Amino acid sequence: MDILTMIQAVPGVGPFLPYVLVVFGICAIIAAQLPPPAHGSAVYGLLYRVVNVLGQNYNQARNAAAGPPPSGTTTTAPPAAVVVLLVAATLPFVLSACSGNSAASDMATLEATLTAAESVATVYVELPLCTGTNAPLCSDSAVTAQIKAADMQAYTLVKTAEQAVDDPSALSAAQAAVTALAVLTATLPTQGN
Amino acid sequence: MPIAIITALIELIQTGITIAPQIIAAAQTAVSLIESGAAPTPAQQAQIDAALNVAHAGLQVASAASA
Repeated sequence: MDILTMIQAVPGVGPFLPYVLVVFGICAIIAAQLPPPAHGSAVYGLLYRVVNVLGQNYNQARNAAAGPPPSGTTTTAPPAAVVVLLVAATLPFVLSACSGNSAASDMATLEATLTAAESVATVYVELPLCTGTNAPLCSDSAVTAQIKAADMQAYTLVKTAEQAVDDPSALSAAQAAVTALAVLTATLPTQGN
Repeated sequence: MPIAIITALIELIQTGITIAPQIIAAAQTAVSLIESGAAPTPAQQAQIDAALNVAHAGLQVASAASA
């Protein structure tokens, strides 16, 4: 049987496997170029983890266990891949800050952000429970409980803010709750650490 | 590579394939709204709401199943 026919015959995921492999390959190339995130850099930390997981760069790569560069050392210019990724990741926020958005579009952006955070959380929660032998792809029940609580609060506050579009305090509370969930998902132990 | 990790990887891929299109569509709508500075139309708002509700329900189901 032709190898492509065999791939296509895999139940459920067959037609998508070539595209998944392309994504994995691109992420593997980018992962080798990314410097480790500094402490407290939640957004870049999440991006770093996602790219490394998709690129199958768990614990083996030279830059996987490297800490942030010591303070006082000189740093070189970031590779092009970092610039492209950071531009892509921060473009919505930059545009949001520059465009003088309406409260309705701010609300829509917040909902989309929460959707993305919940999707990342779902992927983690659906992993098998950690047993000590199945790291790195496992989920911890305590972390799952934290995610569930943070998500419920964020979802409730977003829905409340949606009903009170002209109330800036409701929007601020929702933004804080969504940020809390995003930070939580950014620190998920997806690399066995 | 242990069978458990391979199984988990396949489940990850299946989960991503299931939820990614709705997330991407909602994100594209949100970015277009940011670029234009316009308020969402009812259809766009419904699309974003639907994606959020699907993602929220998915997380609730996954959390309940893992508990």
